[in-house]
Amino acid sequence: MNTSAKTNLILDITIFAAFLVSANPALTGNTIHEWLSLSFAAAIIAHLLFHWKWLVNVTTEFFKKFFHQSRLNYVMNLLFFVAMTAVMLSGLMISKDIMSFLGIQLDVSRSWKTIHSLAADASIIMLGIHTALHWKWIVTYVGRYLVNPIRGLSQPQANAPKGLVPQPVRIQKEN
Amino acid sequence: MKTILNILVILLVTAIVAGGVFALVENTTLVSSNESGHGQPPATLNADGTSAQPMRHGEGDGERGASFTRGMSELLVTLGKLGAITVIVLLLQKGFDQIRSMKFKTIQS
Repeated sequence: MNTSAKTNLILDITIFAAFLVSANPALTGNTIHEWLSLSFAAAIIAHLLFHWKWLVNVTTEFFKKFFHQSRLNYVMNLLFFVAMTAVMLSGLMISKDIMSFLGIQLDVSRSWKTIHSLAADASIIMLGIHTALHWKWIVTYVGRYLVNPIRGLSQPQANAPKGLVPQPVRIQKEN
Repeated sequence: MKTILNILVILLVTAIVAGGVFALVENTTLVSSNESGHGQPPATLNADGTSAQPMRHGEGDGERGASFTRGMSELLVTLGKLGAITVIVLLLQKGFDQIRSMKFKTIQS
């Protein structure tokens, strides 16, 4: 899927905001926490689709070159994916609103709650590492698409005309 | 069509990972002491339906209500954690880069 950096940036900022909100159920309450987290899965699928080429390339090249930045990225992303899947699964297992909405009654062991909080903590750590590994990209595109346009709005343009400026007029003499 | 196929691949991988996590949790259910009871030691249980303690829905209802002040403070804590981890990783990266460049200079000289 070919996408521009701007689209990627918008999606990533949305995912980041959704992650922050859904990681703090005290802010939204349990119902919004559950449904937001479920919709978050769709956003992650979109994020993976946007980076599909990179995923396929690194997966096929994984064992060819041993020490490489993309290899580290790949392993970290894989761990992040596992952590997020564990959060989603354990969240569904202990869910009160989604499962009752679907009419499913689960008698699950208490340890799913422990798994949910452990996996959530792990995914926060993995998100921190993920952010650090893509820091250059983030700084570049946040600067280009967010900081510079906002700065441009607050600063007056250098080439803009200030009031009325006299213009030279060419007068043709009649013969 | 290609996108749908890619989505199916992602869902398949997710299902495999989720299946692995499910099998891992259900086969070796580790219950911490504060969950299993008052002062009881941690126990490893087989989740065959007989020994695992079922969680009744509706437990822990204290978490259900939303509080903007508490939620915002927790959100700020999460942001702080994220920031700290990011800074640590960036510093580590910078340190490794410096060591690498120093090694490179030593080899050159």
